[in-house]
Amino acid sequence: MAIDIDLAATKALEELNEMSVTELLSEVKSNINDPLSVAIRELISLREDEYSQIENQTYSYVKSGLTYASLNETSYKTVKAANVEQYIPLAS
Amino acid sequence: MISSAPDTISLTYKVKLKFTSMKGVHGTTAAIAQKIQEEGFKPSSFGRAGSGVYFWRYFSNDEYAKYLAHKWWEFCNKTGNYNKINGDKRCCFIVVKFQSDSLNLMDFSHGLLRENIRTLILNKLDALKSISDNNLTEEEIISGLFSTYVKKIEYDAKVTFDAIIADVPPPKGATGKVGKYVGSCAEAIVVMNLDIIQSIEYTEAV
Repeated sequence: MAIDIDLAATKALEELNEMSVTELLSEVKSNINDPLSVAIRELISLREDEYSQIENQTYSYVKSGLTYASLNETSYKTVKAANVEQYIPLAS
Repeated sequence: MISSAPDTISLTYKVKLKFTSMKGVHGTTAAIAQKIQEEGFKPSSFGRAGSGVYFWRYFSNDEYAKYLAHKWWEFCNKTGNYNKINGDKRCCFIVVKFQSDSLNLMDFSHGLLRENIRTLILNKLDALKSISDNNLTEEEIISGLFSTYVKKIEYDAKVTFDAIIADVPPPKGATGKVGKYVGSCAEAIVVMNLDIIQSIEYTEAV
């Protein structure tokens, strides 16, 4: 019979904390290329990128059909639309 | 008569709801989108090489999800991740609708799960790094811990999650006026069970 999911989340943490580092490393290695791990790494890289590399750039998102614009890319035409004001950064 | 408080309160981070309109968007190149259209979803061919299958979640208004999907394509383009891919590199959106039956979702934006994974990383990361002889990057270890933790819960609770929800901070400067009122973290759906994808549309980002 399935146990309560809330208990399982706590139990899983306890079990992993009690594992030896060698055992845990073995588990980590065996899971490192599964789809969840790969996706998590991609999300981590996006977080890092947004905070460390694009920090000083200003972006604007413009909804005009499916038109997107980036203020620092001159190849895009920037169009301001009132209905997407929320995505336009306050500082530029 | 005053009823006594329950001894335990269920934490509903495993959400079993009937979503009639849960959808997701992924930004990629037109060439990759075409390949998926022809061959179907495969985690190994979805995004970058070896990518997991994930989408930016939305329910009815796709503006923010498409903005984030475009940002991801932009990021990959800038960092050269599409260099090895032949064909049309223009941005294309893959929009999927998920089945409306009950889904097993694990939501990592839930406070307890976030706390647990944070505890696990803080307790174990340094020790794991020290014995891995620099064979693994920090990101590989952390993502492996995520996956190990989820699998342990699945085993203990005898469930299989269809998808994982992970919140991701929005791009700098993109929170705008609404974010300060309602929060601005975007939600990514990492799909574990591809059968939950009910329909797929492909849209070119002009």
